[in-house]
Amino acid sequence: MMRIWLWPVLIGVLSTLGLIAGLVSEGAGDWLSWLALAAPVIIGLHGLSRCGARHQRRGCNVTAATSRRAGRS
Amino acid sequence: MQAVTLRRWGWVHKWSSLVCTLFILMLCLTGLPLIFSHEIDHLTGNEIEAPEMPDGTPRASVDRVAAEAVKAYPGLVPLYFFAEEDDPDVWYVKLDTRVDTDESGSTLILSDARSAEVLGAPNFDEGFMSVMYRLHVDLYAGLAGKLFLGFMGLLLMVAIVSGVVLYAPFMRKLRFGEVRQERTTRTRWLDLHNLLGIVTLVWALAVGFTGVINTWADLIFQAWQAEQVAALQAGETRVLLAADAGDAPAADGSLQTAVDRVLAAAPDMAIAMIAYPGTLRATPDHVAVILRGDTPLTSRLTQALLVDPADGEVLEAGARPWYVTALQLSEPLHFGDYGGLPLKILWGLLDILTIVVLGSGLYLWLKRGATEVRS
Repeated sequence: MMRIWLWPVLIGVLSTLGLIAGLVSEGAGDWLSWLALAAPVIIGLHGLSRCGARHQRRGCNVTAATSRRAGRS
Repeated sequence: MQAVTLRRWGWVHKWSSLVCTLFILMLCLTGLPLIFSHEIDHLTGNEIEAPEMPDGTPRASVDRVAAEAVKAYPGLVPLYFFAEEDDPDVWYVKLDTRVDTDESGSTLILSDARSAEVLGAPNFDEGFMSVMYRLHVDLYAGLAGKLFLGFMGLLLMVAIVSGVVLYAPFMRKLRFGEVRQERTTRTRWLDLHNLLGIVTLVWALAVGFTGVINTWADLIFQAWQAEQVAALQAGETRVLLAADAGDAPAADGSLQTAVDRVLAAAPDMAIAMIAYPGTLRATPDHVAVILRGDTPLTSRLTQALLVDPADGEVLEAGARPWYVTALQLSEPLHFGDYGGLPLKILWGLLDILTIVVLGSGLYLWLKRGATEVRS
């Protein structure tokens, strides 16, 4: 359970933080919202570019190392 | 999860998605240029700008701005003045044949706040951006179109939630972000659909749900107006500035004096909008002045004060109801316009990822017969 939901929950919390930060404060809040919302964008685009290409030989995991670590816990 | 529960959620996900997918795809595609509409108007020269004048040039009274607008557009009457936070030299003035129309045929013009001159009317009715806007907002079908798109948005919410429920059983044997390459193309797209769906989850829920709330904007303002009028008739109002208060300019029936009295009653607030009596945002006898605060959050949460232009009494007819707060917070969260260009670019990229989720979902349904092992 933990293994499946760790990353989705982390990304969800970051997205929520990003959506709210820019709304409640200018300057620092804007930077926080850009950085936090960049997380889902980077993971998504990375997955798309690495795995969307056809006939790729090697296996592709967006966050292979980290999620293996999560899997052990 | 039990097989039968899983099948039920699968059924919910399939049908909620299938019904709304084409409309949501259209909303994502038309929404993409709309995120950047300000930049696009600027680049294509469609933006109307006030001429440079020295700092501190005095502003014309709103009555004069109204008079110039009516002179330029005979047969129309002013309904609202809007002030943009970052463009204080310009009034957006909305005109229509009467104050109590449904405003679907109204005209929006830009006036110079200093010279009162009419600067021009943005061309909302033709061109690429106008088509994008109408398709996105109401499918050229007015309130019915808005409510229909809102319903499609609600189905999207159901599709997202059921998709999250299905995420866990699909990911049981996979690591996060794993996309199986050795299997069929369908398997690869299934894994990508799951990955992109789960990373865009919160953003899609936020933008989707706030979009649904925005489709109810007309109804929300009508309800608020009814509530304010009812509060006025019941005498349940708070007087912020009595008619005979001496520390503000005395009422003389002009709009400018009425507005000045509102500003005297609410220091540290700026004007977001002025609504003439009889319009949707005001009451039959009062001018409504919508004020905004000066912090990022309070600039979104506006306060509405009513002023009688004849005697100058400034009233607050009840606090802002929760559903108006919800609407006002929904606007920035839907548009993504509260964090400069970087936020707009992130909004655009998340929109594109959502398009991939929708497209891959449709593909998975079309290829539903394919078995996993056929590679």
